[in-house]
Amino acid sequence: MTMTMTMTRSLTGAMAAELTSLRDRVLDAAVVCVDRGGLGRISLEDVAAQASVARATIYRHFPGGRDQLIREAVDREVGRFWRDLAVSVRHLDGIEARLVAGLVEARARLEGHALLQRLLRQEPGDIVSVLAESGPAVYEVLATYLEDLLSIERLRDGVDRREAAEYLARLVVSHISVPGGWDLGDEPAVRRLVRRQFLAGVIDGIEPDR
Amino acid sequence: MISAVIDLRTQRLDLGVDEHLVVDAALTCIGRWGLAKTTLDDIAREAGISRATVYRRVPGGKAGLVALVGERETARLIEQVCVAVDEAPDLASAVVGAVTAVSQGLRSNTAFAYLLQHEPHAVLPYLSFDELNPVIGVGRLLGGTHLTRFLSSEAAAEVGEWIVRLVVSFILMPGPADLCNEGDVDHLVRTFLLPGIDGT
Repeated sequence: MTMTMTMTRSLTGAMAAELTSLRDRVLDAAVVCVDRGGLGRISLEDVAAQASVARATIYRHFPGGRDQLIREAVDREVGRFWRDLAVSVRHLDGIEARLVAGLVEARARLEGHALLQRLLRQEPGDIVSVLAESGPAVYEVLATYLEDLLSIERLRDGVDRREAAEYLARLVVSHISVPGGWDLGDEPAVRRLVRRQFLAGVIDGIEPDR
Repeated sequence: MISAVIDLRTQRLDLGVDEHLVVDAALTCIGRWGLAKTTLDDIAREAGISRATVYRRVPGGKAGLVALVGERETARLIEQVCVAVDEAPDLASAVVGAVTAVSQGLRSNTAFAYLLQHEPHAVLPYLSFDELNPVIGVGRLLGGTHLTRFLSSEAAAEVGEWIVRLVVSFILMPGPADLCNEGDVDHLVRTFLLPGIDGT
């Protein structure tokens, strides 16, 4: 009995792994196809050919078809972007250092993201609308990450940690996507931005740089 | 086509009564069934004038009209913001006034609300990524001219930028604070913005 259960469990695990790799392969293929022809012209036939699977297989795993494929591919890319960013600042202590390095790094990655930049030029309405749908999930993950970082900092009197984290998440997303009047390649400028507009109201003892 | 809808660089518009009439009609139509389905005929009918007259009053066809709508609505928003800022007694109320004026102006704009909900691809690009830079530029410019009563011009421009970023962030991702509510905005401004500003 126990043995059967263990076998079933490991079999299911293996099947799940295979399924994941198939989904990943299809999503990889979708990204390649978008890279080649843009968001508007992507077809399931192209994706199937690129992934070397049957069109019916794609439908079985992505019953929503093209829209679901794009949705999941974008979600996965967005998730990777933030995960990689978190990894790149992991060695730094404290929220200030991570925010400064993270903003510089994220901006550089965004500007260097050839596919995103091309889509923003060629199909801005489509790509921005799809990205906007990932918005709530991004804010949730980012705010929770920042809330964790804030939990080991000494906050100013009366500051609510979750509210502060949500405020910071807004500023992070805003500044990464739009440079505005700040040069995110200039680390001293970014530090000044972070101290003045991000943290001065949140963390006790931050003297805003003049 | 909407390239000029949110071209906030235009600060003042000199429009005649007829142009205002056409723009009002366009706003009504877009607020009712969106941009894609609105035709110049619809707008002419709504304005109670002939299609030819619309063409004469507003050059550039539908695209030209949409651009004009964006410019006029932008000019209106800017005017409301300036009034709110200029009558404020201190920095906090100036910032709160600016944020609530823009938010309320946008919320009461049924055309903008419709597009945001049903045709996001028509408006979101102008609120995201590099396309937002000109809007931020206007925020910096307005801050740098209208907030200098309270701040150095550099700090004033930075606050102008902060205001644009906050408002746009809440358009793209609403809640939990309501930027049309003075109390909510006052709380955000006092908690998160003022402590980082010189002399406050």
